[in-house]
Amino acid sequence: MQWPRKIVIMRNGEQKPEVSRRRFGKKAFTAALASVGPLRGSSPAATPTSRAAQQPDTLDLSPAESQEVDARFNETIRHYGDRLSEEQRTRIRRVLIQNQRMLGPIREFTLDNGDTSALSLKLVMEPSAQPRTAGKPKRADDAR
Amino acid sequence: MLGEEVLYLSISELQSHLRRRSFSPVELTQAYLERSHSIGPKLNAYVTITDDLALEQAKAAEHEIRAGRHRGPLHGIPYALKDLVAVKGYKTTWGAAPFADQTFDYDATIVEKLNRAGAVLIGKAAMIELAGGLGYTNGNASLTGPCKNPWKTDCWTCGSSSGSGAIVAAGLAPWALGSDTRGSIICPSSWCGVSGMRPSFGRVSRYGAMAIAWSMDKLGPMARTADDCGLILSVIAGHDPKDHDSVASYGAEFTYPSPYLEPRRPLRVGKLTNVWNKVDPEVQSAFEEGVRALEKGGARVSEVEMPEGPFEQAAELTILIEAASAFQKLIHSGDCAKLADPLGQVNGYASEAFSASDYIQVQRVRSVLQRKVDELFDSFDVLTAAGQSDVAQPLTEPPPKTPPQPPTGERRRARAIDTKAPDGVSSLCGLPALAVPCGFNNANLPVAIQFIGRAGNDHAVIAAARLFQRHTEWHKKHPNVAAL
Repeated sequence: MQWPRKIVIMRNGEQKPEVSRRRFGKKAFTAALASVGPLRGSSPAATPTSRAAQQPDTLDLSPAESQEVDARFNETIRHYGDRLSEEQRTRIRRVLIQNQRMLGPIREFTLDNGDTSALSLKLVMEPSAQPRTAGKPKRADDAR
Repeated sequence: MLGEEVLYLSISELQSHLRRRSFSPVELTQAYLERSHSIGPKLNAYVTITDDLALEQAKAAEHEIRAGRHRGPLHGIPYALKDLVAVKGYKTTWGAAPFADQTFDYDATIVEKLNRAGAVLIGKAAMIELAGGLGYTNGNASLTGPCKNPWKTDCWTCGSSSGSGAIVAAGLAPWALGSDTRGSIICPSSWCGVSGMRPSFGRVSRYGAMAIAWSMDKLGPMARTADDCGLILSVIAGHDPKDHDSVASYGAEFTYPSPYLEPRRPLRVGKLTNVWNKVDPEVQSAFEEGVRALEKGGARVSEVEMPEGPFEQAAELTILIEAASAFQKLIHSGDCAKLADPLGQVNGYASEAFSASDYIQVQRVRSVLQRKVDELFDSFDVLTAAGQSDVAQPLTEPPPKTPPQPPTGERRRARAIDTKAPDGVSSLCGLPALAVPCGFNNANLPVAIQFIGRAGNDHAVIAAARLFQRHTEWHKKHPNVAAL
């Protein structure tokens, strides 16, 4: 039901998504931090992957985003690794990177508490669900 | 036997002949069946041709029409159905190997409606496997092989309603049903040079049709003219309690023609100036010419920008995440390995890695974007843009370094990452859209113009496209399939 949006996922990293000013600023800030060392008081577990440790295909992602890709990839392999060839694993990683890129502008989008989800419960209000009226409407003079 | 010129008539013209008894529904059906059998396989256009059912329905229609009982605009008119819609007793393959022998013991709601209208089903149209629900990289991703474009058979029809596009363009049926989650009617209609309409979300029941993304899937007609799309929509639209997302009766019913429901004149058209990252110059030129034709026809055209926002990303993510749920059984069983496309084989695994909060976030962003886009329609009846940014692309990869074009794979990727494609916006927000032919490039491949309307205002897009077709002849051109 869609045209090859799927090819979106085939992107090989040569083309980068549009970067908003806010996103650019965030990345610049993260990169600057990475270059001066870990934040004071941060635990080793919370320290994002350093840029130097990032793989070349994720260089446009922040270290935290890159780490998220790694986590998702590891989880996918833990579940389905026995079914997948090396080539398929590489493809999945590429897909996860692309998915991460798409999540960026969504997460940065400014939302207020009152901005509801497009998905919400719709009550079933079919005619059959309406209370039945009992027989013919009564005449006014029947009312007591 | 009826001549080719008859087989390219519009529904209203065919109906007029049937009423005048220039030919009968059986004769018409036989002519389309014969053509479908001789040309269909050359294009890989069909999964199944339903000869027996078609002739049975045509005979019933003939009997009734002779007796003076007319059921409406589709009575006795043949059509094809994308093979993701259930027809009792016939295979419904979803275009994919894991479902090659699948049958249903009931008819989809849309089939019931078409049966009641006396329409004649001549076959089930080929499609991209799972309508692209788990991803695909090229037109070969189909149970029935690559669907070939009747205008140039080494080019693709686009997908995922690939067979529907080929069938209508090649004159194998006067119309076909397609489905559209994000561009799957608009793109094949554009590339095949036919008139294709994606109705407002929730207007046409999807009960009995394969789901990819419940919050985005739509069914709609692909036909010769915008007027035909209106006639078909008047039959297939309507509230259905079996479809959770079906809108209430007052919003789902669609009467056509209904001049009083159409926009006042002059039609206010917003020409979108910031959609598509890069448009092929020949496409742009044909589109500009099309806009001039609209103005000559009395439309008031002014330039407008689509609001900024992550529309494409939100559309894409919604589809990926919902599809992982829709095809969960296939993914968990490992049968996705039987899909033809290497991306489809693994994409579901990756999509399962999204978090619930990501999905909810996307849906919250979607609500905001929906309101932003809706505001545009305070000033315009319809928005317009090129149907696609380019023309039909080659089916096979050209050899490396083939001048002057860059390799097809790269070109496809370049299209695919078009964050300014209007498909994402309009699909995400459930807006109606209609693409009609507006010219050809130098290689004689069709170019299209599309009209996008406010949610629920399907009459506006039909009125705009009909105005365009009243002042142009592009929709009357058809490919030379005799040479196939």
